[in-house]
Amino acid sequence: MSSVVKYLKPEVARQIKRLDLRAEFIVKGFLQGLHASPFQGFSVEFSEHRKYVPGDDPLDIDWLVYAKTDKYYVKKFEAETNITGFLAMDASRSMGYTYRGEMTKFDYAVCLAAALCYLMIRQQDPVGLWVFDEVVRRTLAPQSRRSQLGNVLSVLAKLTPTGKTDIVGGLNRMSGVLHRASLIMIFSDLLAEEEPIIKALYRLKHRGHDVILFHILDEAEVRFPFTGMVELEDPETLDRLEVDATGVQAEYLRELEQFRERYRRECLRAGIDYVPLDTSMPFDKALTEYLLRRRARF
Amino acid sequence: MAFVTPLFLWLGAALVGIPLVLHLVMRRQSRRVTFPALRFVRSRFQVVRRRLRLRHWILLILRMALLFFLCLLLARPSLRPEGAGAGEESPVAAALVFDTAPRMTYRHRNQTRLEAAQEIAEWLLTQLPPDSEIGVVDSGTSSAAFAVDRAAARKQIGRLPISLRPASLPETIVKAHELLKTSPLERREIYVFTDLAATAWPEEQIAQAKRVLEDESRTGVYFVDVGVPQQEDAAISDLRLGREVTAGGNPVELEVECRRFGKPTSLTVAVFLRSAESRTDATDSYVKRSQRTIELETDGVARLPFSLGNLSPGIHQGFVAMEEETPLPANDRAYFTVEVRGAVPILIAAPQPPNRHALYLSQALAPEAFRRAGTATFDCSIVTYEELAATDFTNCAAMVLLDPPPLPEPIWNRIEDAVRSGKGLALFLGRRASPAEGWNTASLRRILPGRPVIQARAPAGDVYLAPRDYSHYALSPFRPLAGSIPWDLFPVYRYWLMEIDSQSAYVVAEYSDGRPAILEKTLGRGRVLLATTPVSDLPGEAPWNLLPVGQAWPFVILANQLGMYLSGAADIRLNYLPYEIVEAPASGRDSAATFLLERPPDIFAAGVSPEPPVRLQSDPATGRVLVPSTDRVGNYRLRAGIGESAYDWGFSVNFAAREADLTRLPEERFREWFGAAGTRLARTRQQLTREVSAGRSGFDLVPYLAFLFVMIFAAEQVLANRFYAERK
Repeated sequence: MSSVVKYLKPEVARQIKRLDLRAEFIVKGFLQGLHASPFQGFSVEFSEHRKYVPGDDPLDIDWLVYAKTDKYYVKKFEAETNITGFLAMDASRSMGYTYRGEMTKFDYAVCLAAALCYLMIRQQDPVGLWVFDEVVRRTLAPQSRRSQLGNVLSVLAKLTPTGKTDIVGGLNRMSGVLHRASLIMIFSDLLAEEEPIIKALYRLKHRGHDVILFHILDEAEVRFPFTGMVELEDPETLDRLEVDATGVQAEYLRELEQFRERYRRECLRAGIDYVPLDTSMPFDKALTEYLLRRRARF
Repeated sequence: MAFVTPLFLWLGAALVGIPLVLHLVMRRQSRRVTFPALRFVRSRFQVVRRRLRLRHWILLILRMALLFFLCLLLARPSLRPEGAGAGEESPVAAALVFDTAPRMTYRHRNQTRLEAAQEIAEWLLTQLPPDSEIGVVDSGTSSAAFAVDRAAARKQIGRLPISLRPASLPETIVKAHELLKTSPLERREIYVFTDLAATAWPEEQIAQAKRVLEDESRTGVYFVDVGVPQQEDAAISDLRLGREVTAGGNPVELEVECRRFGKPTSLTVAVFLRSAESRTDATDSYVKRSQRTIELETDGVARLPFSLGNLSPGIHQGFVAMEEETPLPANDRAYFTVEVRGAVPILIAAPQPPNRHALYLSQALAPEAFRRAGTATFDCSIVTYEELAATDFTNCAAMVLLDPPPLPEPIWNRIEDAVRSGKGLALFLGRRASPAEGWNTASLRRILPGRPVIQARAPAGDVYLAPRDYSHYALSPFRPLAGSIPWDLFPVYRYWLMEIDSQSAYVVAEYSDGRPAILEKTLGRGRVLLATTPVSDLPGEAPWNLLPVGQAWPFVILANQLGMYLSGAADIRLNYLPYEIVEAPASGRDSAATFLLERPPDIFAAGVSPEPPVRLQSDPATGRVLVPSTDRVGNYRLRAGIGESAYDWGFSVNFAAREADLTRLPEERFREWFGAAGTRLARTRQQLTREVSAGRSGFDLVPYLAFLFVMIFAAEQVLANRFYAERK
C-alpha cells in the first residue's frame, strides 16, 4: 500500500516530467490501491460487459473475455456505459501560485485532470477539454480514442496560467455550447465573487449536467503559514496589504472556512460534488470522487 | 530616594527604549509575499488591526516596565534621610542619651531600667562602625562631650549617676544634637534610652525636639524602650505641710499623695519622727508616730492626712513611708522638717484703756481658752503708748500699734531699729492718727509705706475688704476660698486715704472701691505692714469698720497670718527640692563659728559607709549659712556648738512629685509626635539592629520592586500566551 500512496502523492508524481506518464503513474497507483481497498469489487474493467442472454447478437460477444473466463459476456454499448466528460480548467494567474515553489495549483489541477483523462480514456469515456481564464483559451471536443489522451495532455502541458479570473464567463460559455448532458469536472481555486459562480454552477445543473467541482487551493492558502510583518500581493489585481501575519491568521482561516463552507452548502443543495483540495493532498480523493460519480450515474 | 548602585539606573534608561525601538523597527520591516487569497485577509483587516495594535501596545508597555523595574531593582533603591552616607559601615557620630531620673531604678527581673539601658548601650558600642565618635549624654548633666575612645564611653555608661532633678528627654535630645553638630562626620545618630514615662516627655517641649530633628533630617534617631509595659508599683509623693513652723503647741498637719501603678492594692503608710536624742539619720533613729491603711484601685491616687501633736519646741524631722516593698524604693518615702516654737511674743501698743482697745486683736491672736491651755500661737503683751517708750523690744517677735497717734521721734527711732534688726511692725491707723500732718516726718517716711492724708467715709457700708489676689503670705489661707469669702459682711465705714511711697511700698490688699487697705514695706531685715482702718474700736464709739465683730473668722485668720508673717515665719523654709540652695538662719551666732552639716545617705549608692559631717561657715553680711550641696534626698541637720547655746537646725529634700509618676506614654502618642522625624522604636537588640539597618540604608524598596517585577512578568507571560494562543 505504501507504494500506492507514493504514486498518489503530488510531490512524487511531480518527479515524472512527461505528463502522459505522470497520468498513467497516478492512475495505476490508484487502481492498485483500489484492489487493496474496500473498493475491491468495484471493477472498472468489467463494468463495460454484461452476461450473454439469449437474444443478444453473438457478434457482440467479447471473445477476449471468453478466453479469460470461459463465459460469455457481451460488450455494453457506449451509450450504456460511457459518460462524456469535460475537463474545465481555470487557467487564471491565481492558479499559478505556489507557496513552496514546487507544484502550483495549476500543476496540481493539470496532474489531476491528466489522471482523470487517462482513467476516462481507459473507460472508453469521451473526454473533452475547456481551458479558460477571462477568455476561453483552448477547447477540445470530447473523444474516447486513445489518441485523445495525448491531445489533452499535449494541450495541458503547454498551458501556463495567465490573465484574470472569470470563472463565471467560462462556465456560462461552456453551458451554452454543451447540448448533451455531460460530466463537467471543474478545476479552479474559485478566488472570485461567490454568488455569480454559484449561479453559473446552478445553471450547469439545470441544463442536466453532472458537475464535480474540484476546489483547488494552495496549501499556504489553506493554512496561512506566514509569520511576522508581510506585505501580501494579489497576483491578478496587484493589490497589496501589509499585515502582521501572525495576528490575522485566525481571522483569515475563519474567512476561508466560511468561503469553503458556502460552496459546500450550495453545491450540496445543487447536487454538485464539491471536492475541496489543496496542493499537499494526494490525488486519490479526487479520483475516488470521479469513480463514485460515474457509479452513481449507472 | 537613594540608590546603592545607581549605574543600573542609567543602564535601565537605555534599555527601556529597546522594546519601543524594536516595536517601531519591526513594524517597518515586512517582506513581500504573493498571495492570491488576499480578499480573505482584507475583509477583516481593520478589526484585526485595531485589536492587534492594542495588544501590541499592552505587551510593549509591559515589556518596557519589566526592563524598567529590573534595572530599578538592580539599582537597589531605598528611602533614606538626606545626606545619609552610603554604606552601613561608614563611621557615625553617635550620641547615647540616657534618662537618669530616679524612676529608672525601677527593678524588673532583677534589673533596673538604667541597668537594662546600660546593657543595651554597651552592646551597641560594639556594633557601631570603627572610627565612630561616641558621646554619652544623660538627663542629669548640663554639658556633653564626645568620649576619647570606645573604652571611655563604656566607662561613662557604666558610671551613669541618678539625677534627682533630671532635665526632660526632649531637652536632652536637643543637647545631644548640639553635640553631634560639632562632629565632622557626615552621618549622625542619636540613641535615646527611655522608659517612656510621660513625665520625661512634657508635651510643651516635644515641638522643640521635633523641630531640631526635622530640620536635620540626616540625623537618625532611635528610641530604645527599656520600660516595663505592665508595671506594678506604689509611690509616696507630694508631701504638704499645713505649716512648716508651728507655734504654741499646735499639731503639725501634713498630708501625702499615695499613688498606685497596677492592680488594686492595700497600702500601709506610717509617719516616722526622728527622736530628739538621735545624732544620726539612720533609720533606727526614727520612731513611728502614726500609721494608716489605704485601699487603692488600679492606677488610683489618694491623699492621706496625718496630724502630729505634742511636739516640743525645736526642729523635728521625719518621713512618711509605706511598709510594703516595691520595685522602685526611691518613691516609697517622703521626708519633712518642721519647726515647733513656743508662743510667738507679740507686743501690742494700744490707747487707754489698752486691754479694751486690743481686745479684738489679742483674742484673735491668743484666745483666752488657748492661752489658759498653753496652746495659744501668740503670746500678746499689751502696753499703752505712754509705756511704749520704756518697753523693751528685744523679746518680741513683732510689734503692733493699734490706732496710734503720731509718736515722738525717739520712739520711732527705736521702732525703726527694731524693725531693721528683723522684727515686724504692724500699724492699724484709726481716729487718733489725726492730724495727718503729724505723720510727715523723716523717720516716718523711712519706716512707713505711706502716710495718711485724709479720711475717707463710706457710711452706706458698701465698702469692704476685697483683695485682688491672695498671693501674699498673709492672705494665703484664703486662697482655696477666694471668691466666696463674705468680706461684704464686714463693711468698712471709714479709712485713711494714703500717700504711698511708690519706691518701696506695695499694696497687700484693697478695698472694694479699689483703694489700698493694707500696705507693706521692707525695712532692713524686718517688714512693716500698715492697715488704713483700725481694729480697736470700743463699744459706744462710732465704728470705723465691722471687721473684728460678730462671726469674724476672716479677721481671726487674717490676724494670725499677719502675726506669723511679721514674726518671720514666712521666711522660714524647711523643705526643698534637690539642688536648691538652702540658706540656714544663723543670726546671733558668732560669725566665726563652724557649722557641721550632716547629709543623709545616698539612697542610690548601696553599701557606702556614713560620711563625716561637712564643715560650713556663716556669711557675716547676711547672717546665714549657705548649704551648697543638696544632691541627696533625705533629712539634713545643721549643728553648731554644744550645751544650751547649741545651734540645731535642719531641712529636708524630696524629689519633685512628678518624679514618682511612672505613667507610661502610649506608644501611639509617641509615634504621633515623632512620626514625621522617623520614629524608630525598639525594645530588644534584634529590633534595634533592624531599625538601625533600615535607618542607615533607608527603607529598602527592593522587596516591593521585586514583587512588582514578578507581577508584571506574570502579566506579560499570561497576556502573551493568550494573544499568541489565539493566533495559533
